[in-house]
Amino acid sequence: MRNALLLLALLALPVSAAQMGTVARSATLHASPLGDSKTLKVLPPGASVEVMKRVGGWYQVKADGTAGWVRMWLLRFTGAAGSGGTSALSVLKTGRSSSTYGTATTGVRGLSEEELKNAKPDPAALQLVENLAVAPADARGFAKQAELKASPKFMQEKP
Amino acid sequence: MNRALLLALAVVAALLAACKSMPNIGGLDLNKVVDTAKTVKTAVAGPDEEEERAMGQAVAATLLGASKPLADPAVQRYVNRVGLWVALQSSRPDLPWRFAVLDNANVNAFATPGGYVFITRGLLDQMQTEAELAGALGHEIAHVERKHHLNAMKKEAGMKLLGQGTQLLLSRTGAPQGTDMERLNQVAGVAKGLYTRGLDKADEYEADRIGAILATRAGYDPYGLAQVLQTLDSLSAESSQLALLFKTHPRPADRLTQLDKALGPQFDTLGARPDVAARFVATVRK
Repeated sequence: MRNALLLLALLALPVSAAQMGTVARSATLHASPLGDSKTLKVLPPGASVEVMKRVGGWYQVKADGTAGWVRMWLLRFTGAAGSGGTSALSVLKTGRSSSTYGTATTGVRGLSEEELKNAKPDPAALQLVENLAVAPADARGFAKQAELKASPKFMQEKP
Repeated sequence: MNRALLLALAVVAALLAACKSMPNIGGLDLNKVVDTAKTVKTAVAGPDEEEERAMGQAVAATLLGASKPLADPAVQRYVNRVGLWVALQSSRPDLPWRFAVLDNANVNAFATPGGYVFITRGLLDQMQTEAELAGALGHEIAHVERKHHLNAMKKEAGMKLLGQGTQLLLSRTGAPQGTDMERLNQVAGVAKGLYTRGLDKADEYEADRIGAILATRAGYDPYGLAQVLQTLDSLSAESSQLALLFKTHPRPADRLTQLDKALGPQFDTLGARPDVAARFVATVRK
């Protein structure tokens, strides 16, 4: 168990800056990221928390000064601490969209409902996509590089 | 004809396909052998799969008419490697899977029949790890695996009307004309209706569940898709870049609730798994 926790700690995802969130339903604040760990308090639906980091299916949060862990599924992000409700992820969310790759979408193309309805099939672009294909061996090698180990039996449904 | 013979003929066809003109060896008309083998090969793959692919190409060409692929070979290669690795965990690993990032700020992803999967750079911009990408692609792969769009389009247009007779766009030379063009436009029209209206909610929840399972089977942190949904949930529903996604899918909060119900307890039993954030950042945020 100690080793498992250590591994989890190593894989912890830091949540940038101090993000604020609320719990969607009544949520138990746990002492550690384990379902059977001690209950520190029970947060009412909509309770505000400061989000510190994610470890597996748990977020470490601070609620009214008490640090603890809530299940990932219960958390809803609302914004950054002290930013007056502006989204903490706003750099990712709005700032990058048109600048990252240089140009914004121009001309008649676009993926709004209206634009999609007016789209004309583009076989030449389809050929470009066809040329992007990679071989299964390539994909397997790429997974191995990242030390991804397949677990083909996870939730294997009966035929 | 037994299976071994079918396979042998398919192999012969593959070998001979490389030759431009077929010699006549020992009185055997090789062109005829190749023709026979080609027919057999189609029979092995199944006419249904060929038809699915043809429809998929028509739908994919239509989506690409709305947004071009991103002109970044490294990112496209990356998304194809991750996507295929996840698709290999599905029940249809042998489909000709193709993935592409669309050069558009709109936040969305699409799948077409036959194995084309598109993700916008707008959605890619919302992600921070490869596990999130794997989860989102897994959702789209699941739509293909379960033939959600294929069935919805056939249901709407009628089995006979659609697909049958639709030619593979990429197997022809030159632009489609005449009847071909009519069929292409017919499929495109039905696709536009479906892709702006959306699938049944049940299909979306199923794609979430299967998509998360596929990414997990691929070895990723199982919470990738949940993380994406959590991010989508925090975005302004009023943004025009999200309008189509939100119109065509259940609310992200509802999807999270359903995903938790379906897989939360199973995820709890898994040990720590990599989210491969470093590789994602190095490739996509360069």
